Amino acid sequence: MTKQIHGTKYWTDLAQWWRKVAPPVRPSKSDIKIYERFLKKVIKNKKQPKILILGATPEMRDLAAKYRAETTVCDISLEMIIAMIQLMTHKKAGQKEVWVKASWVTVPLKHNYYDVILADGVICNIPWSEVNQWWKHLNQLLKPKGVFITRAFCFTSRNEIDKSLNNLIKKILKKRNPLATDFGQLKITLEIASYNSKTRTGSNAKYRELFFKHIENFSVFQTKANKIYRQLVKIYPPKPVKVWRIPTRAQREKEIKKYFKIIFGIPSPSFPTIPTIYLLKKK
Amino acid sequence: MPKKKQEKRFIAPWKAYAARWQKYCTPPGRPSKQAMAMYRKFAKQSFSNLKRKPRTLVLGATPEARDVLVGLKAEVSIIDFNMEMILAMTELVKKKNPNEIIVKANWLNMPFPPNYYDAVLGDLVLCNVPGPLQARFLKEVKRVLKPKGYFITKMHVIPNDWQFKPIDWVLDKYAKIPVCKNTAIELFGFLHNTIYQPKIHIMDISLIRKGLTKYWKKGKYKHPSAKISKLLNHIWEMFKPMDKTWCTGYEKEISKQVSQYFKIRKKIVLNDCYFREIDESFPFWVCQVKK
Repeated sequence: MTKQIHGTKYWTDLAQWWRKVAPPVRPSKSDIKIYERFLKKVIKNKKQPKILILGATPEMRDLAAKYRAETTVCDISLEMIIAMIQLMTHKKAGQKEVWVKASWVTVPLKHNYYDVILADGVICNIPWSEVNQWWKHLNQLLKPKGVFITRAFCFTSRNEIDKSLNNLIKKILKKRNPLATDFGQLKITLEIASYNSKTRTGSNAKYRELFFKHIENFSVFQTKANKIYRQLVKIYPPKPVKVWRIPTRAQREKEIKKYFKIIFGIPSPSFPTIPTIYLLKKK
Repeated sequence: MPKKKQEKRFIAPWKAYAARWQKYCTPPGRPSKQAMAMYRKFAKQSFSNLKRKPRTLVLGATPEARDVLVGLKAEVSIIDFNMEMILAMTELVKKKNPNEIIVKANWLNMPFPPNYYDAVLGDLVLCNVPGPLQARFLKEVKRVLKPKGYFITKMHVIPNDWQFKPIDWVLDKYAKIPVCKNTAIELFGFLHNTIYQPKIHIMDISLIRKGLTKYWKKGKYKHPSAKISKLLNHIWEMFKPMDKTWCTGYEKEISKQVSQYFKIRKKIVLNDCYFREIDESFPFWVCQVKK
């Protein structure tokens, strides 16, 4: 399980197709506006804030570059860090970043050093066995008034997810040419719908099974259903298998509150039903 | 020297060297088997009495040092300013270590916590740091080391009794000896010492290029001795366009500088070269953090 979650091959391949990916899989412009609003609150008087970015997300790195931050980018894949520079607006600033290829759970970085940690959807990447250690480690890296800003996904309830999945399929069926964002929403919802209550994880392995199970609720030709599925898996292939840790909202907030104070938790404008953008202050 | 010029002369040439490293660079420019055995021996010594996994840092991306440490089952971090060097050297590592922590950052402001590493390994690192910044560099290495941590490194120093001779005298000296695969880089080391400027502690290899101009014909070195021509062309292929600067000092000066932060436990002269004075110019030092 840990190997699947942390498998570097997944992230290397990810760099290749990230260009095709649309919100809500990657943060939207309106998501970034919220990040920026939170960020401004913390760094208002700082000439060169110190920012740690978990993951290689180009939008996060551009945001840090905009505020002339001393930026450290930490990811398990060096290829991902390098590849994502191509997708940055501030490419020159990207070359000045400190790059660290390491696990987020154990990365040896200076304690009490960073003003801000920026991330997108990272909470679901940490295995259940390491999650407590990870939160503690993040807390140590931040300055006493430091904050962690991240988008986070969670499992709501089986009914709610099924309802959400049906609504999405209905929306896609109505459109002649569904948008990339529709497929992005479908991908996330299918992964959360694959939630296994025993392991408290979800994955991309059950796209086919779940998609065709839900599309049966609509009177639609098999060819049309196949076409939509093909479009989905062209952007989001079900292999290699990527396992996500999926906490419920209550579980997520319980683990956060051990080490952080929740200042804000705002539904992500790119997909209000599932992700939340958090501003967390070090306890 | 302004910061941009410093970067251009000290750091930027490594981008080009990375691609030529495997083909042209030999000891004493990179660790020999004997040097690797020393790294192994003293790294092991620094791990004695540890109950957890040893933590080690490699300054630069030297594949030999990384191979030694992965064999010792240590947690390995590497830090280099040039991503080109990191990627090229990673290809040359024999024992791939998926858990290796790779950092692209400046040695003068490392992102690591203080008192973290049991041993820091380097190969000719100090001479790659501009003179005015060397004290800051040593202080930074000391910061990331545990209170009794080891700094194990090969140095480039000018032996205290070094006799400066003209470039042609050096070439004649090498024309008389048998050639092996290390000879070209050894000759480069000799020429390096020859152009050392003691007042500014600089070795600017553009002075070697200028000194050899008379042998430069149609894009190649052509010396009366075919053996020397071959060696000079080997050096050119490795270090072209010969515009890098290194910074060092006499052995006693470097010892004094390092001793401000470390206790120098051992100075070992390796047997990588034909001439003893060149082995003495590239000694292996074992330093321990000073209280």
